[in-house]
Amino acid sequence: MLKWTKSAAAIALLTYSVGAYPQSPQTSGSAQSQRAAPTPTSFKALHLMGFGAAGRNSSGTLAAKSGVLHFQSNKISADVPAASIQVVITDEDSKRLVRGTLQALSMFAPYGGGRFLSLFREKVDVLTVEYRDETGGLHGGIFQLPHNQAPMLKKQLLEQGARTTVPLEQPADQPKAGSVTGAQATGETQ
Amino acid sequence: MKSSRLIESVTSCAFLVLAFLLLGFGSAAASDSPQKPGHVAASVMVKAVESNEVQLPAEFQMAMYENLVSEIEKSKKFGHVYRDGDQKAAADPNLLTLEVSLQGFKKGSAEARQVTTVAGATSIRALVHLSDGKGQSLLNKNVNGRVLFFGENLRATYNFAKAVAKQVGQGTY
Repeated sequence: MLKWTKSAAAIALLTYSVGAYPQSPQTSGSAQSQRAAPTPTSFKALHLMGFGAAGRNSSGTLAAKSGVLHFQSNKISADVPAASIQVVITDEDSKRLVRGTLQALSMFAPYGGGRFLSLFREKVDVLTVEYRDETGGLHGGIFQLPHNQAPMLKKQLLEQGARTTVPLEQPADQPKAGSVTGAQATGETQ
Repeated sequence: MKSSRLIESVTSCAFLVLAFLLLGFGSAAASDSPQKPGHVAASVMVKAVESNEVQLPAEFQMAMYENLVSEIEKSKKFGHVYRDGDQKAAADPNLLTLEVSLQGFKKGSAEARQVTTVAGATSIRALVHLSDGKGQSLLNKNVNGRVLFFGENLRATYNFAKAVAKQVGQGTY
């Protein structure tokens, strides 16, 4: 009998704490401040390949403005009309914090120091845009963006006429849309 | 007197050897030329990568396609490399089609590779099919692309494209 009472009390306490957690004043205040933060209009991005005439592995800024996805790096800029974008997909990945020359030098560090440094990684978003050029040729632009920024850019792109096979994630309280814009669902991760 | 004759004979022999070597290099260079004179180089259209049975992340699918286009252009085997859906290709009389259908994909982990060296490999296996305008098969082969030690996961798509370009480059079209 005592065992039953103890377990029931533990369950009741757990349920109360889980239910009370989102209603605490600290978290609701931070959520309000997050909601109030303006959505950025341009994003730092690393162009991996395939977007217009931009070079591979060139860093710059990516922005969706006036119906065009615009990438600006130090050397070159590239524009693609949002209406010609057939698929926008976001995904997540990670990359090493220590890169470049320091990474190469760290390989010679004693006692596996270089390997140890490989454990320090940062999360990144990967944005893939599939579009057609003026002659109908297929292109695939791939970008790396800071974590949690690709969905924002995807939303802006969709608002400006781009299409996708995978809809944006909706908040939990809203019902999910049944229909998917675009031709086919390919089973991507997000 | 004898030594001067010896020197003369040695130098003449050296000249002869040099002449033979030059002739040899010249003929080798001629045989390495990609196309015979008067032969019209074929064009190729690279189709988008098909992955019906195997799930492939979008960035890998597009990276495979972009790297294929880039590596086949680099090989200079074809007169023109068209992208999937390019309307200009319809007017090309000597057009080949390159299709890639994915057979297997394993996404590894760059972190595991960099820490352990032996684990976390990313691998791609696909069937590469090259056909001419009449639908006749010119190449039908399984090609692999892997990243075992260095580089991020997308490097497997580059290695795959290089292997495909090598296979395609070995034929005469």
